[in-house]
Amino acid sequence: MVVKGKIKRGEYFDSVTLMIVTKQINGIAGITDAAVVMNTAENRSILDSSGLLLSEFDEAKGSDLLICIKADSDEIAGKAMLQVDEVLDKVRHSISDSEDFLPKSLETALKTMPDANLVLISVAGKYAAREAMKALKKGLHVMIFSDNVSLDDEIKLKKYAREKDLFVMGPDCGTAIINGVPLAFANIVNRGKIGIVAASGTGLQEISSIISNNGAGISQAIGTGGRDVKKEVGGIMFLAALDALKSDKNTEIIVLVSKPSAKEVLKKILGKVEDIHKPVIAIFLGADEKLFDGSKAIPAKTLEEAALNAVSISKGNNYNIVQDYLRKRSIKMKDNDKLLRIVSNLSMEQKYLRGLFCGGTLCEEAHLILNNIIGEMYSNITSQKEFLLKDPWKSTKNTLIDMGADEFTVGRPHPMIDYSLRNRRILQEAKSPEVAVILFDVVLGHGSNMHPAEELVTVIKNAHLQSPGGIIAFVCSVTGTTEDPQDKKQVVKKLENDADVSVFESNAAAAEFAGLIINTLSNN
Amino acid sequence: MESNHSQIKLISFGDRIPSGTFTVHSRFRRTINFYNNSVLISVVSEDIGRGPFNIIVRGLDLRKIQSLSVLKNIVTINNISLIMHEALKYTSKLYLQSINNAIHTDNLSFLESTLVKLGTEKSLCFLLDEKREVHFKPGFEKELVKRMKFGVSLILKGTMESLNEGITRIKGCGFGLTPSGDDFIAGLLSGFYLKQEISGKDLSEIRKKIYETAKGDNLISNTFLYLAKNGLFIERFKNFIHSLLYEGHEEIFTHIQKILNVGETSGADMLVGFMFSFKKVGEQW
Repeated sequence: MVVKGKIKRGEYFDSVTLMIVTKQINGIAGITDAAVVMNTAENRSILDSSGLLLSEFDEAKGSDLLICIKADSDEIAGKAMLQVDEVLDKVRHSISDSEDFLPKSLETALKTMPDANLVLISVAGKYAAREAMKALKKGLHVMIFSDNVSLDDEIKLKKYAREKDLFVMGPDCGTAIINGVPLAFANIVNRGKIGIVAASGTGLQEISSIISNNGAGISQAIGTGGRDVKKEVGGIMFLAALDALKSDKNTEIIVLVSKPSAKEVLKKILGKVEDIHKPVIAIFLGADEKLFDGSKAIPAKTLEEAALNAVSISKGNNYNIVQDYLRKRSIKMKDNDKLLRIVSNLSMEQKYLRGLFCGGTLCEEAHLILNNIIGEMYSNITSQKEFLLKDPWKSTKNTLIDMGADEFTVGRPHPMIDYSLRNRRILQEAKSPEVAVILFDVVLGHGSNMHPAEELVTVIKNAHLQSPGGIIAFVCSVTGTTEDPQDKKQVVKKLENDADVSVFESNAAAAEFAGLIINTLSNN
Repeated sequence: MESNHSQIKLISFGDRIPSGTFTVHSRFRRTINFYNNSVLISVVSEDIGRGPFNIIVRGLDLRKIQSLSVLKNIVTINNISLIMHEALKYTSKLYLQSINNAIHTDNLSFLESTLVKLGTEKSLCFLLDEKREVHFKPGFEKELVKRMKFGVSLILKGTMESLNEGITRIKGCGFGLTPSGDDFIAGLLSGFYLKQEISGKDLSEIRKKIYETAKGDNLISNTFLYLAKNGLFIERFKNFIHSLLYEGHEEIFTHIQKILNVGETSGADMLVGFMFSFKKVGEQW
């Protein structure tokens, strides 16, 4: 039997960490006893009584941590000691990286936080439904970040949740802000009186960020997962979320957002709006405008318009001022010196636009805007068969790509986190002599790439070098706030100053400007 | 239309924060402790909550905080100065209204049963229910149990001398940044403070004696002990006491859970100490 010990000088770990480490070490075969404790006279006395006190501990000071291991052999004790170091280093590292300890099961998680009432599930899709049902049975609300959950499972979970008066956000719910807590890919936004229901992740991020950047705030932002508004699911959670915001005292204005969805579901949603005595703004991308005939909901054409309408109403103004502002901005954009400078720098061969998006909804929105400005675009998300790219890895003419689509994300991190695939695609597009504009999105917030500007500046500089024309117009929007970990202000500054990117305050504005460049080129 | 709104906001500051320039003492995920001589103040995230020595700032990455100074009504963090408006001050003192003894006695029993049920495995809840000793392994842990039980048995004897001896035995014992023994004593001191407020009986001498005996060289423990002795409470504990005195089981349950979330065993250990001050330590005090 051997006893090994170590002093960690001046290192403070919370009790949760120390208990976990002790438990792990005690669980190793061949370990008879172990203790990881603060150096106090009393603890040393207990160590003495239990045969764990070592003479080397005499040198320890009050702020030191004592690690003692009693084992069958030197080798086992040595290995265990290494494991302790490893776990403590990991914790130390996770403190500086702000990564929290992750429990391995729902049960452990609940033990750590018994008053939790919401579970965020992010496991492989095939296990997600089972975990979600387990959580619902414990009376917990659920947010399923995972995708690849079957439609049947989604319907089953949502129906069960409604019976129990619980929420299931997702599957494939990328973002939510509940009681001020940002979940998954969410931005740090002001709290306020605007509630959002979204069947669209980046749509919710874009709207909540614009609201916050314009001085208003969010009460709740509830994600439902994109499939919720499909015919099969019937908007179960979208309707429930709308009900919740209807009765939420802190929500005075409601914004609804969805990607293209089933007409009958949208009708159901608008039907429910009739019972709500709060202003409701709706942006249903790609939906028929006639749907809104006679509806109380205020329709918006873009995510930005929806957000600004909500801000305007929250400040007691008429939302018509938003229309004026957007109209004036469009006029100004056309007479912009920057537009003329960009166009005059491009060669005669350069005439096409390539849009490379991380956010699915942002891609959808750009698609709708650009269709109106330059006509139909090739894409991997279009519903028009003749414009659906046969090979999404190769662009043709004017093309928009949602790089978060399944064909790009299987086996890879989402492009909002890992830019490498899009970076490669930017360089690939830049080599084409016909490419004039590369339009892209930058989505900040929790979970997203922490160094977007640094990565993009390098790749954009390379792209110019690869371009046969020697220069390409890069246009983008940055979804996020200055309070996000990446700091929107710094990201914008770096993209503008170091890579001469035309950065706009919204995805809609960026798409409009990119379209104007293409139009101006073709008119010249 | 984008406005440049203020990014860094002071959300709250405690009523015991003194002026001075502070040095980093320790860093955790949601807390950075700073010290100046024997005073420890903490910059904490909003979920940790308000407290007499806590400063809560929104919009500033805790990881990036390097320096802290307080001068009169201005706190400066990383060269960013924020005005400490009176409205943001957290009051840590308790202000009690009339108390219904029946409610509070019934609620104390509920507290005990809830602790036995919910207290974390390695917490001092075995002092309330011996069956929980099964969670402690032979060796260091069993020795710790023995030590705590002996120390507490001395406290229960009810004389000033044995109380002193008991405190000496249990202080600094156990796992954690603030050893379980220290948390227990902080709970005991809080309980004695509340008992004095309720009964009107002067327990200031005994509180002072316990504090003096328990004080060690752990600045974090010392801070908690000081606060407990003087009846200065963090928000979570204040809410708990309020529910214990004026509300029903459901509310107490919620607040107990919130305290149990403090550390791995710290919250539970403190509540066990608090329980003892009312239910176990003789009627002599």
